[in-house]
Amino acid sequence: MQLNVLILPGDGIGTEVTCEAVKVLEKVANRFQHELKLTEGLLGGIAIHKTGTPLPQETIDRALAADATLMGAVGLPEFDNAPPEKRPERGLLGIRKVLGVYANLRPVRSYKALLDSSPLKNALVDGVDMIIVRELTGGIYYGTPRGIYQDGEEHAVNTMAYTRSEIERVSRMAFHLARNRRKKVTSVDKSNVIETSQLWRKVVIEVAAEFPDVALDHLLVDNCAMQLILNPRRFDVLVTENMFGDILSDEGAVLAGSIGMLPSASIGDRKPSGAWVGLYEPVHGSAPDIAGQNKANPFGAIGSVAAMLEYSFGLKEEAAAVNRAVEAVLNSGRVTADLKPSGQPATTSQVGDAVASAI
Amino acid sequence: MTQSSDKSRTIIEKIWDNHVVAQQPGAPALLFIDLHLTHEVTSPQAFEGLRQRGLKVRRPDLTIATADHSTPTTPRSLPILDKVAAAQVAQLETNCREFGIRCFGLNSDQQGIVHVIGPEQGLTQPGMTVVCGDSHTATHGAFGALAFGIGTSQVEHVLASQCLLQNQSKTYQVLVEGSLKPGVTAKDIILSLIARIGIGGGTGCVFEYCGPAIRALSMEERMTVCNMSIEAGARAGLIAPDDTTYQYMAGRHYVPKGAAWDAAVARWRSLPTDEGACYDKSITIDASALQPMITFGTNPGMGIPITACVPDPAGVSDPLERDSLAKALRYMDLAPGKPLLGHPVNVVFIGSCTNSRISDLRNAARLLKGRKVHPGVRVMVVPGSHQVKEQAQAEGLDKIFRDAGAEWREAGCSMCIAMNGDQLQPGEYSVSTSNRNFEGRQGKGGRTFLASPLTAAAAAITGTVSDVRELLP
Repeated sequence: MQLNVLILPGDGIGTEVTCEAVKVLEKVANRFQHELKLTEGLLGGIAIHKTGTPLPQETIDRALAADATLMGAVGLPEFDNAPPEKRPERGLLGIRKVLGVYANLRPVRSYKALLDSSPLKNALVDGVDMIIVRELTGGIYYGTPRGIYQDGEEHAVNTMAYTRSEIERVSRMAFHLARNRRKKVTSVDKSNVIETSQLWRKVVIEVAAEFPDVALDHLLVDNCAMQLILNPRRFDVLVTENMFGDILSDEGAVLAGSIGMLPSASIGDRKPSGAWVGLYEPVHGSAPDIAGQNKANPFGAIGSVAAMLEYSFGLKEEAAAVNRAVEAVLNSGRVTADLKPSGQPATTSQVGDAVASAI
Repeated sequence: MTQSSDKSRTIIEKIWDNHVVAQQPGAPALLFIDLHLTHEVTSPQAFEGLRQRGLKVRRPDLTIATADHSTPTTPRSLPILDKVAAAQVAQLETNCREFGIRCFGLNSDQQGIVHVIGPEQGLTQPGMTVVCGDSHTATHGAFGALAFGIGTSQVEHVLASQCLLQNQSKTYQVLVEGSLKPGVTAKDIILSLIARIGIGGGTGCVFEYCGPAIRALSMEERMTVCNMSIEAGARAGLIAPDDTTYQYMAGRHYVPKGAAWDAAVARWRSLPTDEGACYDKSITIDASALQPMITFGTNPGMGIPITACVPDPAGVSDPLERDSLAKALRYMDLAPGKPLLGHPVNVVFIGSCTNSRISDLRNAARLLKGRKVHPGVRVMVVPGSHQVKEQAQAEGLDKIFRDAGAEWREAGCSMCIAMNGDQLQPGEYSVSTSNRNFEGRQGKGGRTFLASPLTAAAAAITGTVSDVRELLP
């Protein structure tokens, strides 16, 4: 099939890991006879340098025209003191907002070769395979009223708000994903205390009725934080609201051994053509301290390619081929420094080459 | 039902007689229904009706559901995006759960177009009465079943009672003599019949297709023929079962096994029309004289042999017919008296309950193998079911299509009825293996040329309406 993919390498190691991800994508297209049409766009610091804004209109247009978008990372230290609208991170938030991506999918799995990299006991981590589905456009990060004001003393206020339809669509996504996996959804809330969570739980239970083949359980977020460490294998698909998901997904990152391993997919529906929008990116940032040294771990970006193949293109076989190649390279020990290689650390491009040739 | 043994009967009459539950003079008969197929688009109101009246489904064991009409044929890793379609498919699954009906939903590996999966699963069997809230239910007639489409209120009747009020149709013998020449297929038989007798030619009748050319067809080809019976106005169309039928059926999931199978076959062998039985109407077609067919107009009766010219309204004496032809040519933006060969094509659609089975895909792949789709032509290949898709992939057909530059999609009705987002843009021309070329059928302002999978594949390669016989090896 034709794969129209927009590449937004961004800043720092974003460009390096994206280069390896594209290498892998090209190999998949070649091996499985897909026609790959790549376009490249500007996002983040590099976009500010070239156009004066972190998210040029042209990038938005290209993202709307593409079947899927692969992003690297954004952020450069030189912009640390710039006004908010002139910071690279604004480009990332902007593109998510423009494309209306409301479900953030973070697949978390353990790799045999990396069990020792996790601070947890091997026996706990071995066999972990879950997807954390985080609601991305609602909740306390967006609710109003918000702000800091003076009323005798300083006050600060934020608002956690959810509508039924926001909860429905993200929970349907979670149940749908679970249907194609181990058929279990764990919904995480704080319904013993807060009203948004009470609505959350009520709506999730209603949506669950549409998926009788999928089991549903509920965890309070504090208990969930504990269960992720005590018994991470119990999770198949975990769905939760924005802030809880933000926190829990970082906890999940520890299970994989390195944040450099983690891919992500952000899915939304704001596309004129009536197709799903998919933004794929590694979870890590632009890591300016190691940028340009060919030592960044590209597995998060490569895993994002696998996620793109599966979710945006429905190419499960191709996605599985990428994941198998990743596993094979991990087992060979030829990995970047952050993953404690057996001998001399491999460079970013060596890892990319190895994965591509293993497909 | 008792029937005087001295009367010779057609298969149509035999099946009818076997299913009449009650018959009062001057009123329609009450007919028992052996198999009721449902899908997401024509069933929701029927289930809602049952709910409002506090009724159950009378025979959930004889009722089957699948999602096909509004079902996206894009990847299914993510949920259905279109809200209406998502709600329809979810409602179907809810209804089936509530009323205890087997449902081959989107996550089932038995999902597919309702008229493809019935036979594929062995649900459709000779001698049955089969109904579905869908015009092309006659497809199941290929097995020697009396199968016809019903409306949503009738869907509710059948759900509630497993019976249906029906008037007995006339019998119409379609005798197809001779044998098909290379490049000419089952689709061309049915398109030429409809072109010959017109879209009202079979009104009030049930066709029985017979003769050596029909006997020579595979089951999938027979389904293609029966599928379009309604396009000639017939209530249904069927073909008496024979060894081809039994070979196709043997071992399928829902057919009887062991001794029950032997007994069933023995029973089915008594179905074919008796020697000396009379039909109300009949027609003879010489298969040897047929060419690949294509439609030029806005109903399936407006068909011509591929090498013929588009008819000129000036040459039509009947004023109504003349107006309708002129109107069709205006919509299609075609010049009268000119050949259709060489006319540019924007989209080629290979799929639908008429032509989406494995043999249809093999035919298209045979032509596309090692060739490329003409630049600028969009080619969609949509398998009729999940199992057809798997089979095609096991045979490497998907690779042939992809290599050629065609889209290989998930199973569903797709661009046949354009309810799922797969559609033509205004003014675009398609060569389509589906069954209807009505105005806007494949998308508002879209223009449809109906043809066989071979002719469709030929158009994919050349980018124009083409004679497949010139491309065959």
